[in-house]
Amino acid sequence: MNSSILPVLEQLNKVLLGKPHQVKLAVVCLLAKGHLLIEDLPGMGKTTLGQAMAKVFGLDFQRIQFTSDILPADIVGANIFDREKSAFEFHPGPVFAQLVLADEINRATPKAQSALLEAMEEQQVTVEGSTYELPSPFFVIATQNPTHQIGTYPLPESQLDRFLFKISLGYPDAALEKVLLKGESGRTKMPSLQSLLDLETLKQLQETVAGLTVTDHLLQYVMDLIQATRQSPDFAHGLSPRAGLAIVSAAKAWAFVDGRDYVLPEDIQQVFVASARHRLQSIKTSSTSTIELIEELINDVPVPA
Amino acid sequence: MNVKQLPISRQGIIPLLIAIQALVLLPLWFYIPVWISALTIVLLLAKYAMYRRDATPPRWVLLIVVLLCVGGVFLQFKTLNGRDAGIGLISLMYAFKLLEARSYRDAALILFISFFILVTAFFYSEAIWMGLYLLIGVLSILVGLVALNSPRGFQGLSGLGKISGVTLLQAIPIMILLFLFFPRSASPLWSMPSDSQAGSGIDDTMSPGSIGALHTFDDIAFRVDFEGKVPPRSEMYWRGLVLSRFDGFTWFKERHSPVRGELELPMTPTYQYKVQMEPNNRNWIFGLEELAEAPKGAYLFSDHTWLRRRQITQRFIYSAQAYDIDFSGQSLSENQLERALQLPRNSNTQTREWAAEQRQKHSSDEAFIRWILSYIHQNQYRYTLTPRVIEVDTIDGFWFDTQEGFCEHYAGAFVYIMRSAGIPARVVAGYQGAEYNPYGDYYIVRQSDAHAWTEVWLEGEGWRRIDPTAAIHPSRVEEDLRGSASSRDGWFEEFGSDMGFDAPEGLLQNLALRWDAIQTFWSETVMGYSRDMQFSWLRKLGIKRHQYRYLGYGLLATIILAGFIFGYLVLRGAQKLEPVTKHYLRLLKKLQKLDIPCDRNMGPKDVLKLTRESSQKVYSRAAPALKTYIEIRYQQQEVSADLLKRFKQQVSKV
Repeated sequence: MNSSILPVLEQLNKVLLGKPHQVKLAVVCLLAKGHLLIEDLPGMGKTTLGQAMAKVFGLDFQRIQFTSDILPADIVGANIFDREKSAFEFHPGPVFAQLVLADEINRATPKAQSALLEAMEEQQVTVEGSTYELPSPFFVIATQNPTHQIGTYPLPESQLDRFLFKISLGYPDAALEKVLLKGESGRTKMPSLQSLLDLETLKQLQETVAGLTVTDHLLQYVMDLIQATRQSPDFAHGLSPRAGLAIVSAAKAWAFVDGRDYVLPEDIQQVFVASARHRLQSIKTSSTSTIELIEELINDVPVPA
Repeated sequence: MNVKQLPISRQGIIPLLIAIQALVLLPLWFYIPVWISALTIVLLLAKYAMYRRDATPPRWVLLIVVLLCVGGVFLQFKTLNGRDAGIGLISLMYAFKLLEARSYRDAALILFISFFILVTAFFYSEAIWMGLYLLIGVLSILVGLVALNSPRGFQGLSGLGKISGVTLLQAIPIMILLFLFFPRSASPLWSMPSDSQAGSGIDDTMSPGSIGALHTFDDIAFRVDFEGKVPPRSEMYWRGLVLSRFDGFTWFKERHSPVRGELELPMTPTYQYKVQMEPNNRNWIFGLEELAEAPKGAYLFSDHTWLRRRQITQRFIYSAQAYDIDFSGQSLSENQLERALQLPRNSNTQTREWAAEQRQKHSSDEAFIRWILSYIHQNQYRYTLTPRVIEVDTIDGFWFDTQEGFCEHYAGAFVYIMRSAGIPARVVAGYQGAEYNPYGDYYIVRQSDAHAWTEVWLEGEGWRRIDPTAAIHPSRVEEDLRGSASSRDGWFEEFGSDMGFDAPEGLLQNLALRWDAIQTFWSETVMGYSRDMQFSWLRKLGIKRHQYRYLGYGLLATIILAGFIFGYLVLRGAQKLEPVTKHYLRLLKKLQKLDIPCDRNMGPKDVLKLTRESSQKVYSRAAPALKTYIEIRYQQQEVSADLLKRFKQQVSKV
């Protein structure tokens, strides 16, 4: 395990009990300069994870609660008339933060959704012809309710593609839930969290991750997996080349967190489900979920020897 | 979802299928009824329109239209069986199948049926261009198959064409092997209904104008390949039929019984040759005079003609021998004499009286014959394809009045005169001359070489061939007939004048001859590769006739076995390329034997972990190899020879 990341993970695991894999994926996502989508029922600790990450990484934090009447200006900001200067002045919206938690993103209308998603892709916002750079690093954690719930606008596939990972937290197990109910973790511990990294170190780590060794042999494995999704009769479409790039950079970050400077097939396997599940659409009518299908696919594709 | 119901999701497959169908049906459009051709074209266009709009026809509409079409085919042919009805029906069904195609399975089915429908074109033409065209067809179907199974679908020919082409090339050895060795049935698998109904050729009757009409056909009657000596072209009389009964207008063939056993005549073999006959839907076959023993599949008749048992509906190849026959010891029987002197009553009396009168002026039959020939030579007898029409007493009219005609006029009148003078005579119909093809070293006999000549019976000498047409003075041969006489090579020169007929040496003529040589090779060696040819070729390899039927099984077994071996070698060869892969797979196998449940879908680190958890002993031995493997595969872009060697040793130690 990487010495600079290990304490970070320890801290986060204290806040979010019993979810080491999800916590690790969230950290990996940040290191790989991606954005994170968390899909879960309300009250599973989505917001807690976002706040804790902002605190531990020393990032300024903004939270946007998406509702059905939220407007793009509520997210990116607006030009407001300043009476003293007799001129319009730009008032930045909540999106101007290093870590933005977009809560319940699929409760907003597509217009508001795309305002955020555009900012994620371009790292800048444009208001009435003027372009404003967003801070760097810029990390969005979006949460959404399962799409079958009432009052949701599912994100279109093209916008789902902007997220590096989609993860679910799920119910904690019985023993941990008891601890939680006693009030010994979660938000109660939030104030005790310390910032462990400064901005410069984080940027440096991101650069290091991008420079890890990826051999042709490993890329062959990624290509085999992607090809398998394209040929599988279970999915409507296969993975796009952008998805491939996402998988490789995520695997690099995973390898880095594991304390290696090279990427192994295991790293691909660890990040594959999280990076593929929101990009693939199952056309199977049976009850097998997309996640299970992807796991099956990983089992079926041999690692190039 | 079942693979069978997978939609055709690949790009461009439907337009490609339409193009392939058009390519496959194209040769058939020239032969099947026009309405079927038109309907298939309409169906293809309809499919394209529906493809553009992403629509499919409702099933019940299709069902009704299909039933109507089946009815239409039945009305057209009065049957659904047989070649024409069958091909008409299958072409329609083929186009309908594409119309309703929506799944992967449909597309695959259409492509496989395409192979079958493509071959039906051979029912109509076995020409070489058809073979070449079908090759293009096969290639395009292969492109379709590759495109259907490629994730990219059809996006142009470049990549797919290469795969299909290579596949086709790989199939060539198998094709040659099957062609040479696969057992052939003695008779065709299905008998072909006659198709060249209009096939021109000599008939078993002769009336004024009947042979002249053939002269407008440049079709090939047969090709001849001489072994050894070749007779001069003016001596190439290809005997077909003997016509001896005359009703005043038409000459008929008499019924003869076949000669049983051998001809008991003194004869000396002259020329040895092989004939490749084009189908003419008739029974008679032609031989170089004189004819003796019949070729295989044919009978010899007492008038020295041959008949084949079955009609010649496919190209027929036979070998024969020409002889010089000495008839001198023979005499005509009562019956034969009567036939050879038969004359119709009350017709052409002028000629009859004239002939009898002239005969009195000559001492012998021979002198009389010579006089008649010189009579033709010296008088204004002309050789023309367009003689004036004579209504009654055709011979009188020709001999005394019009004095112009074609070979049948001369042969008919000559025999009539001979019989009137009491000399037994008969008409012989066949071909005269041949065109030499230097590129294939054989001769071509065309319908335009059709000819009629005569035979007279001279006491003590037997039958003697007399060709009265050749006695016409060269200056009275119609201008445009001289060209056609070129293949007869000095034919009109019997009476001494030089006509100077040279074979035209033009470029076009050369090309035509070369093309015919290629076609002959195709039809003789490729299409005509029969059971007999196969036997003789197998005998050279030491395979006997009774072992023949095992050949097929053996061949199939060999090909299947070769396929397996080839596949195995290809798979192994792929692994051989990568020594690292080979050793790693060996390592995994060893670990599996040591009860480590490692799998191909595991990464090396997981294998390492699994080993550590399962057995400390195995781990201590296997860890170095696995770590080296990780180093080779995932830590370095280039593999050094040292590292590879170390890895090999470490694997061996496990």
